[in-house]
Amino acid sequence: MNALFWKDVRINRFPLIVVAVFLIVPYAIMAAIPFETGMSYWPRLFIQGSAFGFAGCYISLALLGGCIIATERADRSAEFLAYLPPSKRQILTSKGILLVGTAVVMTGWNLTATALGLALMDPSEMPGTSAEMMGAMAGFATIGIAAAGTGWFASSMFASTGGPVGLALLLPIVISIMLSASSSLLGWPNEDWLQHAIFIACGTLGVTLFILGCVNYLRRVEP
Amino acid sequence: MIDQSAPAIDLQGLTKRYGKTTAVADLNLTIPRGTTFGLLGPNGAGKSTTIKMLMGMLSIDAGRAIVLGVNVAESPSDMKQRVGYVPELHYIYRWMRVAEAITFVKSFYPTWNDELCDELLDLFDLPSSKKVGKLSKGMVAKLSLLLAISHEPELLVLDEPMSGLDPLVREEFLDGVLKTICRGDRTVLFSSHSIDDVQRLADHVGILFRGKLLVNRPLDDLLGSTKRLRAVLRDGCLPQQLPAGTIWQHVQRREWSLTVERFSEDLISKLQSENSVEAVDVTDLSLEELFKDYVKGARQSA
Repeated sequence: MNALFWKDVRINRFPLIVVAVFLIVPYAIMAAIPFETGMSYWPRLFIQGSAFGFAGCYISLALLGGCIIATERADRSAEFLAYLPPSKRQILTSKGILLVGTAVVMTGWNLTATALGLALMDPSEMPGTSAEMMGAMAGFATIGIAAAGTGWFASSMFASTGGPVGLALLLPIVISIMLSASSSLLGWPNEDWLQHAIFIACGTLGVTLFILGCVNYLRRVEP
Repeated sequence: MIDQSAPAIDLQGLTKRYGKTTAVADLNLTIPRGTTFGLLGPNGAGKSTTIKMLMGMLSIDAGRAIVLGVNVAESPSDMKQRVGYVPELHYIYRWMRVAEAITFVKSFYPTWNDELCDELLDLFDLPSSKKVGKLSKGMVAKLSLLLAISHEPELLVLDEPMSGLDPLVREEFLDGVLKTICRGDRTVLFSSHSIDDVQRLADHVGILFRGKLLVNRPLDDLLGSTKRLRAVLRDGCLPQQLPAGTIWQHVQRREWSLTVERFSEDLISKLQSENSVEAVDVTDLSLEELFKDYVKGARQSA
């Protein structure tokens, strides 16, 4: 299992470098460039950094999810692995740990930064309650979950990485557009609930597609 | 539960279809343990498809494949622990160094033999620190063989592993395979275009054509009992009765050539009594001639 995980880390080196960049760079930019937001330095660094961090989380999870299975199919190294003893379940578990682990680390990192920013913020600077702000940030994490789940599902079916990454980037945008259009044209969901509806739809679809991707990978005999 | 007394390979009614094309049709094949089985066949005969199905890398449309007593469709991982496989095209991770590829593969086999692995590294002259992507085709083939045999598999499956290799690498590769065969009661299944390689290694031969097994016999028996008959037909006469066991026949003017299996002296007198022939001449066949006659005969009857 260790060997499989090490191999998956090595194969997904590029998406993981992107993950590392998006963990650090948003905060580095906030630290280096002074924006006038009416917030003091440290709360601004952590809260705005985490907002950009979640955007990075969406991009990097789309990239990792889209590449995690399809890369080996694209260069046909999946055929090499297919005649070695690890079962499909073990191969999938290793990849799943990498994707879910990365999602947890990115989400945890950015939520911790948000919490830290809120803790350091003067109550008079706060645009809403702490719980509201934490909830909104956690909602942004579901966009990353949607991207990861879509990428994973498409990756379990495709033999190249372009399609899965593209679909993973597209789905959260399509969900947002469709629900916004529905809200303005049909009045459902109403404006107060629109953001929540987008987050719920993204989270649900992300988890569902992740499960479907697992089923598809395990059912398929060909590598 | 693994049945240790079961044949190394037992294929029952194995079938694979791609749309309307049947690549392997109701194939029945039993390879006993300790056999070195050479699978011959022209391009597109279904050799690689059969091997991929028995390695659990391709879905089976009908029938079943039992390898070392394990039903491949049910638990391919159990089977793969005890089988070494060398494909025609090698897709070992190109970014791995030779030593890394060895460490990676070794981690999956409790039976890995470090001593044998080092011996093969020396024999094949493989540079441990070089990346797989930088190795020549021959080197990658030798690495693939090393990875397949260092865990001392009970069954070694080689799918045209020597195609495109130069004669020197071929020789080294064959030495490696022979090393495996000589180490105890190993079973080897290999498919090849090279009849010389099959003749050198195999003790049993199977000929596959359009997904069907035309013959499956011990090599010595096959070569010893399959003969070419050349009969001279009487003027204006045509063959009337084909002898039993005729694989292929060809008539050119008065010369009637036949290849027959399970030849016996009685066959000559029978041929003469049932047909208007003046003289019959019997010759031995090489494996290559025999292979060609089987395939041509199958094409004739198709």
